[in-house]
Amino acid sequence: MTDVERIANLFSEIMEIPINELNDSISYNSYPTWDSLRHLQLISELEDEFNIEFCLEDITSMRTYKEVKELTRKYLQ
Amino acid sequence: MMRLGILSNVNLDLLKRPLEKEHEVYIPDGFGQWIQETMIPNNKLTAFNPDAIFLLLDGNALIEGITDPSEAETELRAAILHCERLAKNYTTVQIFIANIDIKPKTILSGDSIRPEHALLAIWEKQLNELIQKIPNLHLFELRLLIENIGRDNFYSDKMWYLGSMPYSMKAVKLLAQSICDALQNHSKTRKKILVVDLDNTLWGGVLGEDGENGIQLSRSNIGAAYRDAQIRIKELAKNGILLAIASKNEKDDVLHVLEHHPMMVLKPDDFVAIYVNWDSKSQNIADMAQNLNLGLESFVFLDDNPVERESVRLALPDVTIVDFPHDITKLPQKIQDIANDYFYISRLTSEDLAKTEQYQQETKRKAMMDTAASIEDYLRSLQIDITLQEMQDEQLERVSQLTQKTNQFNLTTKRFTPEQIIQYRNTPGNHIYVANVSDKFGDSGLVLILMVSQNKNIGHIDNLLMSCRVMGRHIEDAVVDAVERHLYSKGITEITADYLPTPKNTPVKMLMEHLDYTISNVDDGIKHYIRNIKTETTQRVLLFNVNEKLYD
Repeated sequence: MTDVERIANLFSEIMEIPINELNDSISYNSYPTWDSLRHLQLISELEDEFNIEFCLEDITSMRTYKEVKELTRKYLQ
Repeated sequence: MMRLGILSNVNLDLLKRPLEKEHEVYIPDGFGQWIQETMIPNNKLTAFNPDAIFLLLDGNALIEGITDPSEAETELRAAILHCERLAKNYTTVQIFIANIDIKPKTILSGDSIRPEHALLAIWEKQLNELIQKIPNLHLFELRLLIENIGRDNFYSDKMWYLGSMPYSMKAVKLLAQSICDALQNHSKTRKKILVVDLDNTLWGGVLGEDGENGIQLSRSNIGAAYRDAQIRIKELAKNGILLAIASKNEKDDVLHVLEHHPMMVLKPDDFVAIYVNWDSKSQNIADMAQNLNLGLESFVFLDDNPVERESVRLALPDVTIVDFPHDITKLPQKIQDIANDYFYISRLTSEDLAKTEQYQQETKRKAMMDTAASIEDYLRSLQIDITLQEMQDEQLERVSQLTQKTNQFNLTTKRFTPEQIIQYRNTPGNHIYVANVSDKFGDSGLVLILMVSQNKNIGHIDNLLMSCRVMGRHIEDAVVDAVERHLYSKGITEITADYLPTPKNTPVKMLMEHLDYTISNVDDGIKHYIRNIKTETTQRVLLFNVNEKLYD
């Protein structure tokens, strides 16, 4: 599984959005399931899955699915 | 699938999703609510109608902002009182309260004594006292979880400061799993007997080849793994589990080791059966089941040899076969795992503690029976003493246990958790009669339960069950007779009963007929009985007097 696939699986499971409906513009607070609780859960699961630690700035600036992917992959380099 | 209420002083919302995979979950909005949820019976928690409530308090949050240790202590004691109130407002619910953890944070000089440790000790002690007093309260080992993976892995500063959730995702998953395990443990049927092999199981090496001085059993090195495993197994026996040996060896050699080897922890007296021969192990286990009058499904078999394990598995599919660690250094932990998986019990009764002794007494009774002239002579010579009373609070655990594990002498096989027993007893008109039996060989403890409900002048036997170890002595005749007289004094004139057939309870198929009850009708295999205790006489076999401690 590629990194993007792993991110997609996690995002899809936590936000309860089917994988084939994922698109870059899905955003925090405008999508009903992406609330503050799930945001923290997403951060936590991504950290657990990839063994990384997000800095606070990145946690708060992760506002769209596109940013989730970009910011996460930043830590994987 | 159960209905769970999760209360806390911190945000545990993240637990909801993993738990909802198996159960229905209620977590109050605004986590500071936990105290309110204990106080008012008519609140959302009550409306949710939980089967179980978990109270998981975070220690640091509990004493937040308090610098004075004696103030912190007061805060903890106040919290314990809230716990007590919760338990008393929900007596029919299983309530699990976690032992708390307090992360040492205060900056102190290196050699200072940390106040956190004293506070933890206070919580442990108070919680333990509370649990011993209240039957539906159980301990949830939160601190054990934290200790096992370490605070660094369990807590997350990020989650705490961003979301008021103290725990990492890893911790949340472990916690959810642990909650499910705790619920399962609480309702699982406990196995009764552990059968062990000897060579390469209780000691290293083969006795027949290495000799008594050549087997590995010592306080250090590999021999210590075997010895520590024996220590754990002995603890199982202390917790009311029977032990037996099934080994292919020469009996004299084995007895000599058991009696004289200086490193042996287990002794001949610890075992209720020692089968050392060259027969198949499944034959030995089947014989044990018959002689001890235990169902095969209450057996757990431990043997290092996969061929032996497989042969027992094929011959006796009801026996639980546990696997054996490849790495012998894991054997002591394996015994702990076996204890948790198959022999878990939340509380012990005095009957549990005396199990092994009781089975040994039974062997003596059997010997006497062989020499008696008739069954009636034998029974009279036993000098059986029966005490009948209505269930006392301290008998609750034992009563619940008996309803859950008795299969043969059980009219309706209705199972009751301690909470359900309380509910039954609280219904007006209901009686739970219990009988304690002892004889000249020893005390069998509480062995018979008769649960009766009432509708005007008609009493109904909801269940009649008796421990199989006192079957065949007409004890039930004497007890039913005495109970009928007591019910009559309360205005009952007729008693009804049902026999619900199961694959295991054929021993009581004709019980009510023998007790002079008439069949009123049969539907779907269920026999309904009735007896007019006012007018009908009986031809019961009454061999013993019953000491009645029944009050009006």
